[in-house]
Amino acid sequence: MYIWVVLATFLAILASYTLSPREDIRKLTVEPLAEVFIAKMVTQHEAALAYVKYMKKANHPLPAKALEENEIKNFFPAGHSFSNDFIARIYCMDENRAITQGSSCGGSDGKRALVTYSPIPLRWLNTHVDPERPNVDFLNAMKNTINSGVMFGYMAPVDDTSSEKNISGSHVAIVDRDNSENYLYKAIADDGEFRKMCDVTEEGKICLVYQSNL
Amino acid sequence: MIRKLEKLLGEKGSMMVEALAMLGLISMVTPVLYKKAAERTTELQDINAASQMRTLSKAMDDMIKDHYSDLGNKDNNETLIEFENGEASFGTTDLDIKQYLPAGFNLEQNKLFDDYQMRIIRNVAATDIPGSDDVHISLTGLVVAPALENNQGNNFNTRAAKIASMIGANGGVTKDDNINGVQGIWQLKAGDYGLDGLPNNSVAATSLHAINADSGVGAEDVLYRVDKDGDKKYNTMSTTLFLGNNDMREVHRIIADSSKDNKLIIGAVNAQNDDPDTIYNDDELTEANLLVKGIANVSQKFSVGEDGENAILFAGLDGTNPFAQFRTDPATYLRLTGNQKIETKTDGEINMNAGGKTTIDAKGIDITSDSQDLNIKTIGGGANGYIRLDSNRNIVSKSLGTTSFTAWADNDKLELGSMGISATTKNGGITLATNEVDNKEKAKQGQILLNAESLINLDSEDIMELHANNEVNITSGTDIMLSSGSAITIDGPDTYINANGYLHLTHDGKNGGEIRLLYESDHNSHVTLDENMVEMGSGDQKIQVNGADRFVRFAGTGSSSSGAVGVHDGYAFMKTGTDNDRDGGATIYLSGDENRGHAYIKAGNNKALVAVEQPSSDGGQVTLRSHEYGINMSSYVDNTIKSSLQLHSDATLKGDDIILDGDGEIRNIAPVTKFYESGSDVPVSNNSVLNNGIVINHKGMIALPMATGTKKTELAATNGKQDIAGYIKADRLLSNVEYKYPLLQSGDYTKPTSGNGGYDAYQVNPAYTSVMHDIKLTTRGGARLSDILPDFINKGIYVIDNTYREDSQSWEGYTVNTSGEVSGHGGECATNDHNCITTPWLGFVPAPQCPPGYVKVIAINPIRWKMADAYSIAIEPTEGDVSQKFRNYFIQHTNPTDARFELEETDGSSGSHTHEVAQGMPLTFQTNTWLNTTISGYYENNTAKTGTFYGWHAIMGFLYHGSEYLDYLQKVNPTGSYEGKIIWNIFPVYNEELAAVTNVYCYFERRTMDGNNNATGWEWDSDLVDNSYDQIQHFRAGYNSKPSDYVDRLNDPALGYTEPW
Repeated sequence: MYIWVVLATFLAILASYTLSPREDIRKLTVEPLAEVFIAKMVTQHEAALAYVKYMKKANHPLPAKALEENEIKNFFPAGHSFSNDFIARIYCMDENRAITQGSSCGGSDGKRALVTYSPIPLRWLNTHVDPERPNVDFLNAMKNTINSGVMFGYMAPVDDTSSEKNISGSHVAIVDRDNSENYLYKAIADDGEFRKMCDVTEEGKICLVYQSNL
Repeated sequence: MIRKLEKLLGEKGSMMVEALAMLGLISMVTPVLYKKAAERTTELQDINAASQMRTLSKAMDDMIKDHYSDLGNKDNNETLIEFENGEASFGTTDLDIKQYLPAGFNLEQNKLFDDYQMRIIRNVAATDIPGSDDVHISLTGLVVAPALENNQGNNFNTRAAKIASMIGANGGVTKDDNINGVQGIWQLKAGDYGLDGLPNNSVAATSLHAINADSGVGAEDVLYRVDKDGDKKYNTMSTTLFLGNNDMREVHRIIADSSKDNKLIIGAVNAQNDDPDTIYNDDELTEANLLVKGIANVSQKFSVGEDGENAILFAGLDGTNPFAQFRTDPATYLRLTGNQKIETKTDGEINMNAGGKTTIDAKGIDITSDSQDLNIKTIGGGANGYIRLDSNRNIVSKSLGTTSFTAWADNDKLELGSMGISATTKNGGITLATNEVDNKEKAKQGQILLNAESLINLDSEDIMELHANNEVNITSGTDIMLSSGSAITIDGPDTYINANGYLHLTHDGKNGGEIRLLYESDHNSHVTLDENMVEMGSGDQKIQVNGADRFVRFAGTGSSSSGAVGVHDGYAFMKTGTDNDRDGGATIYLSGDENRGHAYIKAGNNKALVAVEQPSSDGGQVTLRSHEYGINMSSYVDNTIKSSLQLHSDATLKGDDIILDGDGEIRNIAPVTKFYESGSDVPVSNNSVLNNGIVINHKGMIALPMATGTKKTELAATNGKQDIAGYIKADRLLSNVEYKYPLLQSGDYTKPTSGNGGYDAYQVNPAYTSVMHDIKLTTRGGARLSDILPDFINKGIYVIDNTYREDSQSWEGYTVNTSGEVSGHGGECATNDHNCITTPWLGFVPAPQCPPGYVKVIAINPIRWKMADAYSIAIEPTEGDVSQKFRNYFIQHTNPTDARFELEETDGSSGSHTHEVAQGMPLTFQTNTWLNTTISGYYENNTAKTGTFYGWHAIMGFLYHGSEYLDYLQKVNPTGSYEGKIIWNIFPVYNEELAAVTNVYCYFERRTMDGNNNATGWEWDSDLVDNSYDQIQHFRAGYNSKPSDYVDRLNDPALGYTEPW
């Protein structure tokens, strides 16, 4: 009898080592990996945003286009570099929020937005739900990486487009770190270039989107 | 008992075994326990190290943001700020990171790493924007924890990477002087930042977000509370400012800027639903409250829009003044200034009470009074007490009532503008009167004086009256014009209208208006127009004499110089003489002007008759005569001028040459039109035709249109089928050109003697009969010409033989010119030269000239050939030309005696012996057995089917399979290729050995042809031939049982006759 008690004690000690030494072990070990992806995109968006503001300050025309490496590489933090995994694109819309082109856009009645987007890697997607959405680690990583108050989050379909906040009647929401819905401009969500990479109606095309009004 | 002891013995042994097992288990598990305990300790150390790095990195970022104004100053040239023990000096700023660390954070308590090293990296982006002197500066903080010496080996690198990973995306680890971010997200070279010699496995953390002017503190998006380097943009709001229901206090001044409509709008809107970019119009702020407090400045309560919908200036605070008041001190005045409009609206009265003169100076003034009088008056009189309407332009009164200008006192005056007076009334009148009797230049009492240096224009849309009890004089130095939309009446005992210029009495003809000169009937007065000169207008104007049986008489000195125009006894008349009867009188001329004027006699309605009559008893005649432009008779039919000359029955149009000349058609719609020779009698029967009647239709045609909507077979048989429309009945249709072909009998071609054959009844222009649909021949049982015409027309017969020398050229390369001359061949052999070897090309047969619709056809038949010659084969010759070689090689036997074998014994005495061929050859060889004739078409320039077709090459000769005669052919020409080919004339064919006859035809192509004249199929074209007749299928049936449409085939279906005749 005595031997069994001792044996059980050892086994319990062994089993205890399989438990995490800290409750927030995933926050310390897994979420940082997701933060890397998010941080790269945020860094690229902020570099693009710094470039755009710099150009605006100089009254330089900003065409509607995807920004390229040679344009924004000097606006990254030290050590960071441009990545082709993320698209930072300037969108121009007229007063009816329809996409316009041209060498310079976003007149007095129009809107101009900088949108950076990239599909979320499957590792961070919960594919067992419909529609797909990021898993908890990724959502927590979003909280760790970026502050609230910016239109940054993952894409989600919108069933009811009649919300007052949904001015453009968009069918795509940007769910941010606080799980509050913002809305991607409808013209952008319907844009063919955007939908090549991001489309809420297709599997595996759930994107992380960072939208900044210019 | 023994069994029980044995059991106990067993238990004692088990305890020992268990103790040993437990001891062994403890010895095995204990190391694991220690290992696990050590791993846990290590993991906790790693987590703590990562947390420290994150804390340091965040503190570094916070410090940089707080000191961005210095760190981000573009005038500083340093690119790297190094820290010593957490402190650094840069520009005017002392940086101490310890101020940003949590309380108790000890920079020196690190079990795994050496002392922390920190850097701030200034990244200045080069600007390449033209015209921009700004630079972009981003700051990046870097914290490095160098690995301790015993941790710099490979056994620690995994752990260092794990620590970096737990820092987050901004974590990194060093290897070979490079600081690598987690999963390669970033990379720095340590040596570039004063970290030379940084050991491997060191852990680093950098700023995740670039800190720049746009990313946080110091950004231009933030409103500064203080003057920021004199740059207004830091103190300028670029969007709507929301204060979140907080007051704005201690405001010095609120000054509107001109950039937004130059307005200062103070109002309240629903901030929750408001778009901060929206600039509201004034009327959108009607529900907003503006409350201005402060009695000391506004002296009374001043409030806008708290009561009801309208903005109200409230009464005085104490209620003493029942009105709102804008008041100035005696030294100042009140000015209302508005760029667009100053508007005053009230439901009550507006009183303007001024102590001085009131001046309204505006580009236009509208004073409107609704339902009340508009009174403008002066009070108190005096020299300046009048009302003056002074304008640089017109002063116009458009009152629906009377416009009255009245001077009351004797000395008062009424002056109307010196440039002109225009008084226009509709239902009222204009009264001008004065009492100034002394001045002759002014109108006196009872007088109206219109005195102007220029035009006096009295213009009324209704009646205008000049009414006087005495004379009315209208005198003018130039013209006098009285113009009225209605009547103008000048009525007086004596009326003088005296003008030195023209006197115009005009009216516009509206409403039956007219000009009347009336006389006073009681005194039997009359109107006299000056006998020296009276002119009356022309054109649409008229001279009217009213009453029954009135006339205008032209009184002359006698009957020949007198006349009258008038109405009398039911006639309108114009006659000469002194009486008024319509009969009698002398000649009346109606003449136009000297050039091309017209004289019209016009009846009033459709039944009116315009007659030019000469009583038959006088035996005279009516003559319409013109010298130059003819006599033109025209009438209006359906608003169109159409000429119509209607004559009574048996009318005669007689003249030397009568010409009907019309630019369009000349139509004859009479039932029967007859043309007779001059002087001949009129025939009794309409269907009879006089021999002398001749119709000459010069250079024209006679068109007899078919009746539409009717079928000829429906006409009554009694009418005669040949009497219906569509026929030309005539003895002869004579061509307009001389008929030279001597088919007729000799004599007069135009009048052949009857009974001399089928050609003396008609002559038809052959150029037009050729396009007839078909011709039926009575002499062929009603056969149609198209049926009996041959499909093949033989156009030539040629006999051809082989007379051209053999040549290396193929006939396919020969060329033919338009004269039929062929070039490229080897030339002809000499006549009767039977040794001349010839080519298979016999010559060129020219194509026949065929009418349209016919194709060119050739048939060739061989009529002479020499074939199946048998030869003995001799020894192959080596010399001579081809002909000589052939004759030496192929020996032809023409003598039967020589053609047999004879054996000669040369050594036959005994034993073996030899027989020699004394004559002939042991073998025979037969040539020229496969005769062939063919033709090859030739087009212009020898290009198939692209030019004019010239004719055919005729070819005749003998054919050989090349593979069968390969040995012989290769001896003749070793380089040739003969396998699988057909070779012409391997063995010579000599001059004139071959002959053929060719027939060339024009063949009527019954099939449908395409654009290249190729038949599109084997079906006959129904437009060309009667395809209901099939000469194959109807081989016999057509004779025995004619198809039901046989009659139609004989007939012309398009004409609709029920039988061919």
